Amino acid sequence: MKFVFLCLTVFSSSALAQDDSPSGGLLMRLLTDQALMMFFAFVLLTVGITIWAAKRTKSANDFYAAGGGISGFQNGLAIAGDYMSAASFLGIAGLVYASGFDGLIYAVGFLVGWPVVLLLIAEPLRNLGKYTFADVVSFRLRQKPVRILAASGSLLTVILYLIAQMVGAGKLIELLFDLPYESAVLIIGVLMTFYVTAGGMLATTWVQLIKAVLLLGGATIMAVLVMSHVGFSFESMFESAVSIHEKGSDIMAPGTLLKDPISAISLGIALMFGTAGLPHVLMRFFTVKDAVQARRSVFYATGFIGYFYILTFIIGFGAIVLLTGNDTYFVDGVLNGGKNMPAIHLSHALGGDPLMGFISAVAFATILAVVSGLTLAGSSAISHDLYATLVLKGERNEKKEVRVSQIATVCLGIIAVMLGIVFEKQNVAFMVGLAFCVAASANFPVLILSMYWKNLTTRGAVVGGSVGLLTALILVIVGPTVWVDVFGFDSPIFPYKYPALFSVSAAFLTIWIVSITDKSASAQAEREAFEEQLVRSQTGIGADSASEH
Amino acid sequence: MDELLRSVHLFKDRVIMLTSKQIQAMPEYQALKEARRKIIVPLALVVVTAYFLLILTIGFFPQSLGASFAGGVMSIGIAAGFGLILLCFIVTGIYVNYANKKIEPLVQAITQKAKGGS
Repeated sequence: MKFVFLCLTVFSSSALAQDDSPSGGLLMRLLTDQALMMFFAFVLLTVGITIWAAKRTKSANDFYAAGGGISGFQNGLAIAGDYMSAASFLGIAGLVYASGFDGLIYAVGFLVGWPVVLLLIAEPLRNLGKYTFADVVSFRLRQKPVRILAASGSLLTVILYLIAQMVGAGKLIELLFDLPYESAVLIIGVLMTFYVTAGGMLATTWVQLIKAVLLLGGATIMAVLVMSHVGFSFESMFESAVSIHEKGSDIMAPGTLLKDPISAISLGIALMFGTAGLPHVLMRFFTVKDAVQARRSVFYATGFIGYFYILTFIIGFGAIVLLTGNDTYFVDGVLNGGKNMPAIHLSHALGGDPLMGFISAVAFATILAVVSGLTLAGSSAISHDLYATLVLKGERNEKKEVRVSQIATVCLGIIAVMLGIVFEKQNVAFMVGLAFCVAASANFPVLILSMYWKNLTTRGAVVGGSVGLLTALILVIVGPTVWVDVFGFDSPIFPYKYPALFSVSAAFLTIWIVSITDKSASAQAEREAFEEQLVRSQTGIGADSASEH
Repeated sequence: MDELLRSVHLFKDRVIMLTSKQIQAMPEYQALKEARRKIIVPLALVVVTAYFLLILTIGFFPQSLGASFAGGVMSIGIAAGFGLILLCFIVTGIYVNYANKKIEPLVQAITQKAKGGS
């Protein structure tokens, strides 16, 4: 509780700091007091929920998995919430506004991962695991090396994703609320650390649920207003967009996002299989009672996410129709605030200050909810996978584990704030891409093969998973985004922006070769244990029933 | 001995009358595996094929996606994108429906037997 108090003190002091901060001068203050009121109302509500959740969070099961008491419908909404980040709401709407069809490629790619998760991952994951996906991978393999690998993959994915969200959020809040960038990042860091340390998965889930409802509601209002503007006809919306957009009818076809077939396939692989390797999403399957609820979760999640992306697409086209040529939203011919702002400006064009205030507050809520989920997944990897296996050596001590998890959350909060400030000037899109790529190259191959492939051995999983992880990292570093744009070299060593085609193939190939050539006695025992694992994976008999205590 | 310990670990805290070897021998278990395979393989193939068809078209024939879909401004690409979103709804719907009708009763039957219910 001492920590809660400390958090609130830091938060209130940084919130107060905005009054005497230099008003920037360069930035136009976009928001009215209405928006600030909504923003504070949301913060108060979520702090209240966290205090309520803190009283109910006692065991490790409460902390990691909300006591297993989340229903399939709620979990579906929360998963959708994890997915509907500010980056995807503002980013995809912005991409559609800028180049039409290209935005739809991302939207579809983010969604198609879900049927794959439903068909192949959700039920075995729930039946075999307890709190993290490393539980599943280490089910019949050796605990120590496998958990170190899984935790590294998780942490790297989480940190990359966290930086992207932090930088995006800092920029947005800096612009909307006229706060200095550092204060904006600090406020987010402090609030998310508070939610997670005090309220664990229960608070994180409820923050996510509230935000998901607000975001779906806000986006629905905007999409309906856009559609009423164009007479509820897609055809007339596309007609006016094509006639007014500077690229004309090119916005109806693929543009500059994917320049060659290799990039297209690579991005496709990263988006489709990265979803099935995101630790903060996988972790949500342990908050429901059993495999039936896990299945139901994905069904609802797919529905919500698909609906949300259709709304985002309409919002992007609405922005083309309504903002183009309206001088209020442009400074020197450029959209005020940059390429992520069309959705925010559109809300103003549609509903004036009240709607813009609401949408801005929702965007802030979205960022907070997503970074909280990410931080919880990262701290669970540290406490449940690393600390419990390496330090406690399998001895069960839930109190210590939760304690370590809370300390890890504070550390991750500090790291996120620092990296958020360090990477302020970086292009964040590549970090989200990289996070998906690491998830698809390191986490996904090991997870799926541990569930379905009898011959997987510890050696194969560890060597192959590491190869996937390193290949993804190295190819991104020597690729155009880092080698040319960040380091300033003339030409990249590796010519493609998205390496998933190569890194995912490298991972699968290495796992296969190393596993089948592994003739050790332990490898033989691991293969023999597969049938038994399959019984539990298929039937759920013996599965950890999270609600039991 | 190792295998025995593993079984004990697997099924601890549960009242399980059967070992996993016995469950494997049950006709319901074989039917369950078959029922899952029968639905998962075709549905996964449909989604992956449809998606990579779109991705490959974007990669190799981007212009073709700009052609008019039904004589109007709406292009084939946009229609395909919406179609894929719809396909995701349909596939998850079919699977959940099938799982509730065909898979769940088998799981229940096996669990009942394993707990010594019949």
